[in-house]
Amino acid sequence: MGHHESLPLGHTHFAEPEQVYHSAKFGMWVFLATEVHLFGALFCTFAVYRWRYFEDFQQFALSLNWRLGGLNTIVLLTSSYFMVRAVDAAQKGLNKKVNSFCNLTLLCALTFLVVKFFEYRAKLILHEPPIFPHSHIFYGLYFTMTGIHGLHVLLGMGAIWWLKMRAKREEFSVTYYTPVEVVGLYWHLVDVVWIYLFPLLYLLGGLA
Amino acid sequence: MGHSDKEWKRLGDGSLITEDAQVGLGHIVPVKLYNLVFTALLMLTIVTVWVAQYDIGGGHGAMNLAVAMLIATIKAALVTLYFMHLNWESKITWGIVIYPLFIFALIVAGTLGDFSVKERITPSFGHAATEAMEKVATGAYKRNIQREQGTLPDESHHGGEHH
Repeated sequence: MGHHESLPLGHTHFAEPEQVYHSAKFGMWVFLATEVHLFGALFCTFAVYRWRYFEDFQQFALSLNWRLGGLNTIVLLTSSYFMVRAVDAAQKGLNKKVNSFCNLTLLCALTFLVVKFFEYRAKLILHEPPIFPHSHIFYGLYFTMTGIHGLHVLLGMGAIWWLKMRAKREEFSVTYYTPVEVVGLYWHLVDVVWIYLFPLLYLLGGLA
Repeated sequence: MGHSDKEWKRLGDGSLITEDAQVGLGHIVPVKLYNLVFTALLMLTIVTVWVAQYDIGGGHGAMNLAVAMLIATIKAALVTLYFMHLNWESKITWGIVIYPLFIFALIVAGTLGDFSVKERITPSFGHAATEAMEKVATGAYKRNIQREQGTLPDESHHGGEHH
């Protein structure tokens, strides 16, 4: 293709641009494996306490707003779709499209955090949660799991902002779009975690 | 891996390439497939919410949990296979995806198995500890409320309080 000379290989120790691409991507997959361990430990803790205090956990699930949880699920799925379209645009060297799809992804991420803010406010400031035996366990898990997830969303937004800036400078091409693909992988994992959090936290007690 | 069927792609700069000409940089997936996956993800979200309003049996909501986790797993698989391009990745990437899932299954099975067995042998196992934790937590919660209302009886016994 003759694009190789424009590749910003810099002074890396890689022999081939292909190798840079595959190594970076594989590195991200390894990082995502550690993320599965992180969230896995939390999901395991949740499983133990739900198993032990089943009736209470059903009640607490009812106390969460499934409409807001569902809205956030759709918002995050949409953000994942925009992210993959950004990757697709990057693969075709369309920097302007990468920029627009990054903007749309950021908008969804922001919406997610705003909705989460209203949910947290209802539980923390308006004293809405019922205080029953074991409620500290459920809400402890709820805030830990959704909090760490929310932190991931925030960090992801930073990374997508960085992509957007680079796309604006027309830095991506058919032969170099590794950062877009790698950030995309991370963003989709954040989505996958929420795909499990939503039914476990909001839906298992039925719909209020 | 789809290298046999040469498909021509028109790029942003107007040039044409095949997948082979991409020097191995990723797999270009038709946008139609992304649209299809996205639609499926939205549909499955609606299904999982719809199912949640019924108690579909199994005792202790077992079937509800099973169905919710099945749908979530299908959604997660769709995201991973198509949005994350795992479908076109090498075997070693598949390995790095499967091994943490295996470890996770091991940890959950081991922990829940351990709990259920001990519960059967000594039903009070763990309860003493959690009840004690609850006492502490409930006490702390009550004290906070009292502190807010200014009706805290006498804090001098607890020591180390600060404002």
